[in-house]
Amino acid sequence: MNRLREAVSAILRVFREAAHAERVEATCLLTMLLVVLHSGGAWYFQAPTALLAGIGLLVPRLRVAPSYWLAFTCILAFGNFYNWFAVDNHKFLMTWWCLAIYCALQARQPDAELARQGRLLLGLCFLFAVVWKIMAPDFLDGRFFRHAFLTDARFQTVAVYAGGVDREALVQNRVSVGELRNPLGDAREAKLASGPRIDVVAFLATWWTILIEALLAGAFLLPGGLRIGWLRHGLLLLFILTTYAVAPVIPYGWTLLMMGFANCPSDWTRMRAAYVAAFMALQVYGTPFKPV
Amino acid sequence: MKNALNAAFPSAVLVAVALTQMVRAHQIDQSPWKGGGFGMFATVDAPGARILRCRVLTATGEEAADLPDRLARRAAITRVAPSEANLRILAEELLLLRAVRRKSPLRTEMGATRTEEARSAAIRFVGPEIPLPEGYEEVRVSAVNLELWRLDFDGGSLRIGATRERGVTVERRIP
Repeated sequence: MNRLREAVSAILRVFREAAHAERVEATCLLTMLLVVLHSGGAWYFQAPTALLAGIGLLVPRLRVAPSYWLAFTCILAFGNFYNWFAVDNHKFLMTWWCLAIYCALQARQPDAELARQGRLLLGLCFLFAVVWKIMAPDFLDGRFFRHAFLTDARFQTVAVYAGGVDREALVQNRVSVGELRNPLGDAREAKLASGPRIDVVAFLATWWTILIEALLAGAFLLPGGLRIGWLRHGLLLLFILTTYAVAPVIPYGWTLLMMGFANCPSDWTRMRAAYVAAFMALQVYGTPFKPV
Repeated sequence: MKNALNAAFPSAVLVAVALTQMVRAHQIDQSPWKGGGFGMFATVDAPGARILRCRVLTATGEEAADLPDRLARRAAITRVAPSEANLRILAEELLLLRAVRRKSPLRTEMGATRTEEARSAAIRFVGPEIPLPEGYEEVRVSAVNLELWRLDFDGGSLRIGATRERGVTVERRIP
């Protein structure tokens, strides 16, 4: 219990430090925490990233050294390409982000370059995400969300409270799908139980996702400088607070926040505070709604 | 020049990997969920909706076989990118292992579930270096048939159906 309390207070200390630090320092500090906590469970991620983070905590100027971030990039790139068939997309994005920090720290103006890199990676990530969704017929007709709400434990809260699906029915749906997935089983078809509002919720989720991801891709990829800065950050925070409340994929949200934070000027104190609050909210989302 | 390269490099890498994933998804049916192309949460065709079924040809006919843990990595790659070449590689790797069968499999009449019965009756593959497990007999396998099945979801009727997509049969080369 004491160790848990110490770990939580250490993380809070990092957040407090980050909220008051300069943009480059703060971004490096928070990214370091992101990599250590969420890069992967295998020893070849955990051991070297923990070692590097430990050195970075002891020698703060190392945290803004390009070679330090090249080392993180190499560790993540090796692990992710070795496991390309298993790792989720945000692990790739985390790797590109470490690479972006390495490149930005070598620029004449690291602060501006880091902001630009964050903007481009965010925009491209949302662009590809929305292109995939538009190309997938089962996303556009609402099948994806109907299927996810009825079978994926991560969406259970929405299925029960918004879709009106019975909790027992969801458990039965998952058992049926499990039987279909059994390569030695003879089940070939299953009928899912649903709820009275699941079609409406799936429809809203489908078009909300397409709309906000398209807007985010446009806002971050189109040039516009500080004039559309509020729009970019507002949309990103709205996306994170709505999306990850429904599907708490915390490391993904954290990675996106990281790049948005890097794009937020140091003197935009309220927006920076909103980012730090969003980091905290993500952790909260991840805890109580996790299916047991 | 170095500055310009640094400025473009991370975005270029992201685009290159994502486009490669898109091409592979269309050419070899790679799952949009994996490979760094940001296609997750866009389709029901996740790796979990793909099933690899294995059957082997023995002296007594065709029998169901369980994929061994030692080939879990190769099986996961095949599920995500189920090209004929990947199916064939997995089948060939299975033929290098030793096939064994329970002498007296569990039965539902003995209180086992249907899943336990099917698993217990299935052919298992073990490493050639591992001694024959107690209660098992060695089985001679002359061919391995691997099939990819996919779960499709009909949004109207809310039915999920498993359909066979493709398969390969690899025969043992040296009799």
